[in-house]
Amino acid sequence: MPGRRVYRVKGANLKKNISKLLGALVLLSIFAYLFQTYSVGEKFGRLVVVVGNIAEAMKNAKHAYEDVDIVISDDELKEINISKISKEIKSSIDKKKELAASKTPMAPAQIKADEIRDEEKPQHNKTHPREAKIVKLEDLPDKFKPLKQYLHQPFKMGACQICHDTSSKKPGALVQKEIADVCYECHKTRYTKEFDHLPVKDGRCTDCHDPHQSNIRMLLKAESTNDLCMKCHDKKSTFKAKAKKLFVDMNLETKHKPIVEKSCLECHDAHTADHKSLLYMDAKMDLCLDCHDEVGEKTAHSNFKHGGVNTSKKRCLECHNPHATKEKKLLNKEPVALCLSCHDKEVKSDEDGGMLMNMKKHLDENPNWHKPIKDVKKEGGCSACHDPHGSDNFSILRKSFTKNFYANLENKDFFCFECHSEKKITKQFIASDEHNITAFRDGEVNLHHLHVNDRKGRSCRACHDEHASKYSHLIRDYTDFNGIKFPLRFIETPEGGSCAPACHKEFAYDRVNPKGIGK
Amino acid sequence: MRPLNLFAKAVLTLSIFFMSAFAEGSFVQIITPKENTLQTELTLNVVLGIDKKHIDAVEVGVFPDMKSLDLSRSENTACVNISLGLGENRVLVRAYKESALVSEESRSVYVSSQLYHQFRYPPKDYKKSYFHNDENEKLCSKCHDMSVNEVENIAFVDVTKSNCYGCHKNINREKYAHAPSANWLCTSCHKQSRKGASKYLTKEPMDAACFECHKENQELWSSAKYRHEPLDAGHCDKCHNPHSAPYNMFIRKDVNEICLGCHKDKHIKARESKNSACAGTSYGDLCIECHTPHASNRPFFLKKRFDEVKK
Repeated sequence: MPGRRVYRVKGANLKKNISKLLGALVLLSIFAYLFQTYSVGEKFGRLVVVVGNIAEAMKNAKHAYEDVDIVISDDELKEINISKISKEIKSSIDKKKELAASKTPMAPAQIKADEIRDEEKPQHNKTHPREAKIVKLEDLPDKFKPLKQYLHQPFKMGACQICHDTSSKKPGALVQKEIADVCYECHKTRYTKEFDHLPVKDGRCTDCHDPHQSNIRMLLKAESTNDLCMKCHDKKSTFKAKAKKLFVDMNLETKHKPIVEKSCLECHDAHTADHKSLLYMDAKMDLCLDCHDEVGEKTAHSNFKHGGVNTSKKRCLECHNPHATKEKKLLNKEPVALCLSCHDKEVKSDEDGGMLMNMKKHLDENPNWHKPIKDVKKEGGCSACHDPHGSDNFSILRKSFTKNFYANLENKDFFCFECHSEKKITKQFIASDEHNITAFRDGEVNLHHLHVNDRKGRSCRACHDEHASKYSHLIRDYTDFNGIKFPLRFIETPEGGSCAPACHKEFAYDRVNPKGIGK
Repeated sequence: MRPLNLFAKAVLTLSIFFMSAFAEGSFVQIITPKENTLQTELTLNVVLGIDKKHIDAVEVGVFPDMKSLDLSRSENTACVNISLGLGENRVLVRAYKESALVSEESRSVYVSSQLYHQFRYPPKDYKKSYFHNDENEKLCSKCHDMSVNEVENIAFVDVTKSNCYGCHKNINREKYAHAPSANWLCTSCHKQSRKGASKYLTKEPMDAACFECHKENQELWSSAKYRHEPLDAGHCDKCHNPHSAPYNMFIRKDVNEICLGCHKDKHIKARESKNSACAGTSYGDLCIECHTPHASNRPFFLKKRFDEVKK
């Protein structure tokens, strides 16, 4: 049987055990009889109980008197073996392991500079810097001429021997095998934070830095810091050390200001960092709020918060790209499409725990869209009315809007009039030269005034759907009143229409031949 | 009496009984309403069993307002909605064969009203009868879909699609129709089921159903010092018709008529008394100009202070 072993455990000597038991039994019975305080019946009863107990014990412990085959799997056996190892052996093994571990060389990036003792410091093989033969700048090979703005200190000194093995026949041979080891000899601050830049980790210092001279500070091997980064992090790059992932497309229209005006190093550390993507702070939010503090204030302290930024996984990065995008405001996608990437299902509202509607489904089902959604480029999409960073108004609206069905105009709780003319509801009669104010009129009687501003004010949302509708003028198919959905039953005619909501019976209006509503 | 004689007599009476039953019952039979039915609505659905072999025309109604029935359909049952008046109604069903009256059946139906003294207390032998039980519905289900097809809290776009509409459409015939009724959201109120009675009863007292939507009113009135008796007892339907009514606010009669239906004597007394605020009023002045019909913190349900009203 593979992986299993059969062990035969020998049974105890049955006869010996039985004689022992019988002896015990006799002793017990004598003991019982000697106990004079009990009556005969009770003595007998107790004896029976004792014998019974012994019989039961024998029955339960049957295996102790017979040979038993035990099957143990190999895995179990290992466990058993380990458990059997005496403590001494175990501790000696542990010591050996520790020794073995201490001998294995650690990656240079993981050794702290101050931990390296003097005796462990790598020594120069051939020459000491002070004894080095100084090469005059004029005597340098032609490939280093003309000299550039910034020169590496040993290069400037002409102390080639600090890095190069001059005794070797191979030109440019180093004193140590690894480039990084040569660098770290002087640049003792090795990088010990949680995340390392891959060239740093691999000891490829010269991928970015020129060991001799450069026109850029820090002896960089490019025209600028950003160019250096993009050498590897551009998808189209042909550089041999091109990054495998982590590409940044800087050819897109909208670029993050710090990258353009300063450099990638505004957010990233070139060598090592405590945060992912070599960032100085947590990428999701903290780093962004370091500059965009007014948004942080809004997201943290507004009465109504957007789950997309407050409780999501990627926080700011759910919507924004930190480098460059096609869209304005560094958005990941086109404004409305971006919102719908989350609101394509019912989402739990942070406001009241209720479910927010499936907006994608709503827009798909209803072809007539509100202009800000329809004309995204011009009007700005959802964020024309909603503030995605949070707001003090419900539904993260940019301005207050009444939640009630009945509302008076005096409250000024009508956000809609930011774009739409207030005359629509303030004018009771509409003269023939003002027809563009509203088409919802019976002759000259303004039916908007009648509905919203006459005796009882009503919210615009009683009749209009602020997002999309099957009907023209964004007329709702159902209006919600006291939790019941009543259809408006709106029918449009060339010069008017009719409505039969819950509020009243079917009433028709006509702009040319008035039906006499409101008289 | 000899045994043979007794047997013969028994056979004779039985045969007469069956024959008469066959002769009368086979022409036209009233399935509902039952005899001595009591109700509050002014419309009634009459369901008939008809033998088309022996009759070719049927008239139903309260004389002289008779409606003739359409017998072109193949079913042996037919139903018709008729209008009733307050008080006792004798519903007649007349069957004709070649313009000759073959049989005449009748049922007594009493329409009571809380707003009239004379119709408030129906005679003792009248009893409320219920239609919507499984047995009756089985009979109707040959032609009608007897299931409830409304979606909870979503009104019909086309109300004629409601399964209730076909038989009960007259309930919303008045000028002012209550929204849940006009939109045929029947089961939002008629959701109580009682075995042996009906599946679609309203919980008694019915104010619970009203206040499900009219919450603000409930809050306002329940905190008031004085409450009008019908409101306090939960009988909103005493003055309001929850389906449709010819008057605004779905009240069953003109405002003053409603008030004076109960308060007639008092009003006359008040108007004649010199100290009463009502002293100067005439019969045509609306009661609700000074009094609120529901609840108030002032005595006599006054809207303003007593001395202000008197001016």
